[in-house]
Amino acid sequence: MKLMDRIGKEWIFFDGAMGTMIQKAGLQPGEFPETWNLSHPEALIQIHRAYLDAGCHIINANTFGANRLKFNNVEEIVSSGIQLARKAIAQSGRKDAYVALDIGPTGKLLEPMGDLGFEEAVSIFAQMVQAGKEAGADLVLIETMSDGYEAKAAVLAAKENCDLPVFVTMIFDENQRLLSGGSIESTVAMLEGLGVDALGINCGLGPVQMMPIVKKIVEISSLPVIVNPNAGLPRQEGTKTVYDLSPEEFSMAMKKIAGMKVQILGGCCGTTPEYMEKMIKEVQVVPCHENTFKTDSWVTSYSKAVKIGDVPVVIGERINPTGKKRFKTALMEQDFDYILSQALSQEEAGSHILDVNVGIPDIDEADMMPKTILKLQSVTALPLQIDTSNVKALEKALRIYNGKPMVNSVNGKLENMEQVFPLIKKYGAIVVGLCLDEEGIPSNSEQRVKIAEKIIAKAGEYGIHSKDIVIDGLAMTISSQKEGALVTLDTIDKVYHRLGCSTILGVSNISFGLPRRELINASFLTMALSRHLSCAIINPNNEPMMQAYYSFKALMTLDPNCEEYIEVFGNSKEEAVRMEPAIDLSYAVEKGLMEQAREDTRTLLKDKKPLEIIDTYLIPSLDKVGQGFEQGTLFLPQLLMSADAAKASFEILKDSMTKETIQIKGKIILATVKGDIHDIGKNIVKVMLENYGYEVIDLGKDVDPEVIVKTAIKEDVSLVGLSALMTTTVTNMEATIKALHQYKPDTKIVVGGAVLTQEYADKIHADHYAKDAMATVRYADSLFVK
Amino acid sequence: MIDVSRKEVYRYLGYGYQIPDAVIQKRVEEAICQFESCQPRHVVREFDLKIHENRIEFESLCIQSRDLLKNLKGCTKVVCMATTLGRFPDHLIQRANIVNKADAVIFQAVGAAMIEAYTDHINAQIKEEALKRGYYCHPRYSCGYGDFDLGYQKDFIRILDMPKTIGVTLTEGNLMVPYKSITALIGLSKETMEKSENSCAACSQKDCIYKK
Repeated sequence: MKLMDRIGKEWIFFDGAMGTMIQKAGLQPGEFPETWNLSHPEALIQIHRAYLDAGCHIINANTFGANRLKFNNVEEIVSSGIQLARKAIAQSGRKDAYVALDIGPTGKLLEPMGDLGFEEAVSIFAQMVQAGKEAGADLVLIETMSDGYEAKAAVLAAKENCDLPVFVTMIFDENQRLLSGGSIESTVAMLEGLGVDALGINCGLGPVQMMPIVKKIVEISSLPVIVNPNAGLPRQEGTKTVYDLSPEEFSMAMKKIAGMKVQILGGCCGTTPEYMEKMIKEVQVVPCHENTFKTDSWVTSYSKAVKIGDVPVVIGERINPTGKKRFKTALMEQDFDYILSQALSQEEAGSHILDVNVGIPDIDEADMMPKTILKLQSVTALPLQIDTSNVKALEKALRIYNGKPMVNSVNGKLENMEQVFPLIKKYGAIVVGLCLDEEGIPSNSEQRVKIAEKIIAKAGEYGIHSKDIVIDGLAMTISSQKEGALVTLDTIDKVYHRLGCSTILGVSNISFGLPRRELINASFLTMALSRHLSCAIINPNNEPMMQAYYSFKALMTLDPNCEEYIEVFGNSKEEAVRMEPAIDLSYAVEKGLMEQAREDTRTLLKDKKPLEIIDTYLIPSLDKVGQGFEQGTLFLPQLLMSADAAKASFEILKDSMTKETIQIKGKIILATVKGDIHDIGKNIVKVMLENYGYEVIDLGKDVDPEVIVKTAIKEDVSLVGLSALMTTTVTNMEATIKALHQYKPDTKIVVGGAVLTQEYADKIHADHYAKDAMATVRYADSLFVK
Repeated sequence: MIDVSRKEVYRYLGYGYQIPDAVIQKRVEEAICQFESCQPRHVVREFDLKIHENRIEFESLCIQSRDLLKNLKGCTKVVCMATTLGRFPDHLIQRANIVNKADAVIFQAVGAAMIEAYTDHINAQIKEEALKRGYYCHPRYSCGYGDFDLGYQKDFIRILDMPKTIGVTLTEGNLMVPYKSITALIGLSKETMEKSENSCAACSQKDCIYKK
């Protein structure tokens, strides 16, 4: 009988610990357990046999860490592991047992935080899956994962390389979090979206500590739930680790867990065949149930989960170049700091989800979209909405996304649905369905609802449930379509009542071409919310919009005790006392007052030219602060506060300058060298150089010498700044300098970083050693300012 | 809660022994508040130690380091420890880096002072526990110090199963991620040692700006 057909109808039992058993059999310190597949096959067969005799159905092949980061004979180790498990089953005579290809984590952290690329991780796991499939595994178990992102890479590898059932178990701690920060909601939603066949928890805790977590997993997931705990909590006895539950205590706790409507049980560290035998005996008397379907629908990031449904949510619209000159320039120049700052300010303003649109002509969206997603996810935990009509960009972004995103959008055109739905099915996402099709946008709500029905039905054919669809009723500009608002409101109302489906609107469209747009927008938002709008795509930095949103929630009992409302507006009286206008921009920069600097700059712009402001205010105050720093009367935090304030002022000035009027002293490359991931120093130098009028090409951290040389040649850059923090990475700095001197001999190199000294810099043939950011600025000035 | 030494934070910020102005002090206090969301974790294991003339052996390891030999002189056991503040500080620093570089360096300094304080705290526990058994602890020693090669980080990672136990991993260049993490060895001996010198005095880098 097929494994998947049995789950929920009868108890399915995993085996217990492999590591514990191999250690008992004599594994030496420093020896990889997987090497035993070749050196001690009989010992492994015995371990598997013992678990089979105890009554376990699924035995995990000894392949947990058999990946190419540890072994150069992955195929051999994996296939021998599977074969040994198969042999054990054959010997036992069991017809109802299965072999799992066991996949554990790589032990590396994925980009952007670590240095293992996502696709590299997928490829590492794919190699294991291929070998496991060929050797005859019955299922893939991805286990002991403490990072949802790595689990995603493993699931994709499994799904793309075999048709076997894929089970995933994660390590949650007592705070119900993964080590990566993932919550139960965010993790379950992502794994379900990826289409795994069963999911659950293993390792980390004993069964007692797992109970509240198991309860929550069962509440959220619709899939079969697996629980494989340790034999209690670990404790060190001399040089040995022991666990605090006896087989009897363990099995009593597992019996309780069995009563929580889970479907698959087993053990992890510290458990042995004796534990499993006793557990199976206890659990067999408990009735087994299938899990139930859950209607809640979640959009997630690596750690946050936002529920889409009865409580409306705000989706920030500002990561979008439409009609924004500054944003377009940022995209063209790959100025991610600017793009990311848009994300952070919307987060601060109360967004729950951020829409991400990077589509402009002349840009390779398929390259830019995943890059932007990756960068955004390194600074914000808000879930993202991938907003693109470019299918290639969509797939790349869905792949690299950490969590279960929203996708904006699919429409009622058959061709479009056939392109988009397979991707939604494969990667998992909540997708926005636009009420338009081959015939265009219907002018009445009945027709729009028909298209919504068509979209939901077609999605169903792909196995996408309607809870993962939100329908966009399409807000049309009322200045050109006088009934635009009414039709839109009717549409979302009907979609909610008739189809039971969530809804979304790009609210601001409604007022296009009218004065004081926020008046119309805010009123329209309130009206739409009262017709059950689930997701409002708005500018959260626009106060009337958020005021309307919070007020609506307070009025409609969606904000218990008006707590959120009071938290947001309770202190606004103080804020209402506006700062005194422009005393002096110089003062604001010298004291590092960012907000004041912005305000002063805007005031000054009313009757002064940007260049004049730069020359009379910004440069002199930056110099004053810089000199203070050099003389030791001011310190790094003050230098940077003032740099940040100046930067804020420059941002505003840039908006009112054309490319020609922005004066650039010169182009400088900055990079943290290969092998080094510490980039704070480099970032400080960057902001200083930019404030002093340089264009900085920031190549980031852990940068290959070749990339630096190529960029220096391509951009014809005459100064390169290199940073390294560790003594071990200074060798890479030396290699980079050597390569630059060889291939771009006219380029000067300035170096800095905690371990560097003048002596060291001389030794590796740098042209200059800068002890801090100001020293770098002075050196650049000595080269560029004649 | 970990008691973060303000003095250390100011020192990391480059103030030496001076006290920053009220604005910076306030930002440091705010940063320390934010760091309370960190979830520090640690993992500790003890091994029997064999000291030879030119190498140190425990578990499956064989370490050649003159400086470490000096540190472990007379020890019969060694405790391997690793501590981390988790991913939270890395995220915080990344975010500050976009809009507020001053905050980025303040977070950096607070994180450094906090992981040191947390490691001191765990170290004190180890000391206390060892003393109960009649052992004295030598000052903790990390790879990267003196001639104790940074490459041994790989062994710490394996022996302590750090990715799984505390979520700390290594990059290709043997640097730890999350960033605010420490690994160290602590030698245990039956005899008290002479008064230990402070950690800066033992270091060979003489022109360090952070030197105490």
